[in-house]
Amino acid sequence: MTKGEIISKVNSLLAEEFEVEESVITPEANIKKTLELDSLSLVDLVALIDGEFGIKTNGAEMSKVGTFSELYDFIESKIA
Amino acid sequence: MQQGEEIKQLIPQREPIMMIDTFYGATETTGKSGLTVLADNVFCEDGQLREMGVIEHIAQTCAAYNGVKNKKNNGVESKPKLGYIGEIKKCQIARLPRIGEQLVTEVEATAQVMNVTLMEATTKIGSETIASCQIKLFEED
Amino acid sequence: MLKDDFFTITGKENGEGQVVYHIELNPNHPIFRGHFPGNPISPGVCNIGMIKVCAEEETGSNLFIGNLKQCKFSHLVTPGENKELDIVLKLEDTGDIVKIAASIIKGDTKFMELKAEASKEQKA
Repeated sequence: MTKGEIISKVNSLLAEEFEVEESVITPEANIKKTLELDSLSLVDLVALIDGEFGIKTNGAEMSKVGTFSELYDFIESKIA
Repeated sequence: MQQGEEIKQLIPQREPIMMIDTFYGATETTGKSGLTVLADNVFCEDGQLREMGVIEHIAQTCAAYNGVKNKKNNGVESKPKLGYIGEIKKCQIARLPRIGEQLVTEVEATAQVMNVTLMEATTKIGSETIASCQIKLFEED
Repeated sequence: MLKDDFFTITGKENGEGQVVYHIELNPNHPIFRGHFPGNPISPGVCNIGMIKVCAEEETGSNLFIGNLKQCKFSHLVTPGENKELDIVLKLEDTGDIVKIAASIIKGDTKFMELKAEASKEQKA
């Protein structure tokens, strides 16, 4: 999977699940702020990413991810 | 398998709101419990277990799974941590169970971030799936 | 089941696109003895049930909640401190299906929020 494919997949997935416009998802935007995630919904993000990319993310790894660009890099490193 | 009074070691709920009567066991990520619907169940009405009873049964299955997992990881004597339901999502109930029917529920922890665990639950009567839902368990530190 | 036993409806206010039911919990209800012994907390499912009862009052139908889309619990309801509560209901009655958006609040505290679709039951 190319980086471009990861990005477009993540963006459409998150836009649908968290009911935001895809256009608000930009590489440098903060994930929690953009998707209005609280301490409870962060786990939805993990489950979604794990399910879609067949990876297993632990909470500590995910809490280091701040922006969408960091999320794309994180997924790329996990599936490599 | 645990039944009757032994269930009280797994969950903090007591009569009249104990909604599991059998616990079949747990792995690191899954748990399975049962409930036979009795006429005197506090959530029964007109011969059926209402939605609240079904959801509480699922929630207590999650709590029992969590109780067993904590005991395994922290020792039998460890003080059980209280788990709260933070959120219920995508909860579909196909039909209400009738008196005498047995519900069997399997839960699976699919993701965890810090003290929040996402659980997927499926409830069956025989081979018929009657309910499914996602529950977020929030555990006290 | 819950109505006039676990809780009572003490009043109602119609507002713009919503209704608010004022309710009062019965701290002596047996459910509080089991949830939990010495530490009474209204079970989340009872909070859902109270919303359902108010939605039934409002629509005049018995309801079956077959699709609970989302229900978020942000604050524990304790019958000691939070005996009197407000249930804020926004209903969309489409005939067979009633769409419910509701919350339980008191003052500035939000205890829970719920989104669900219920179907009308035939009265036996």
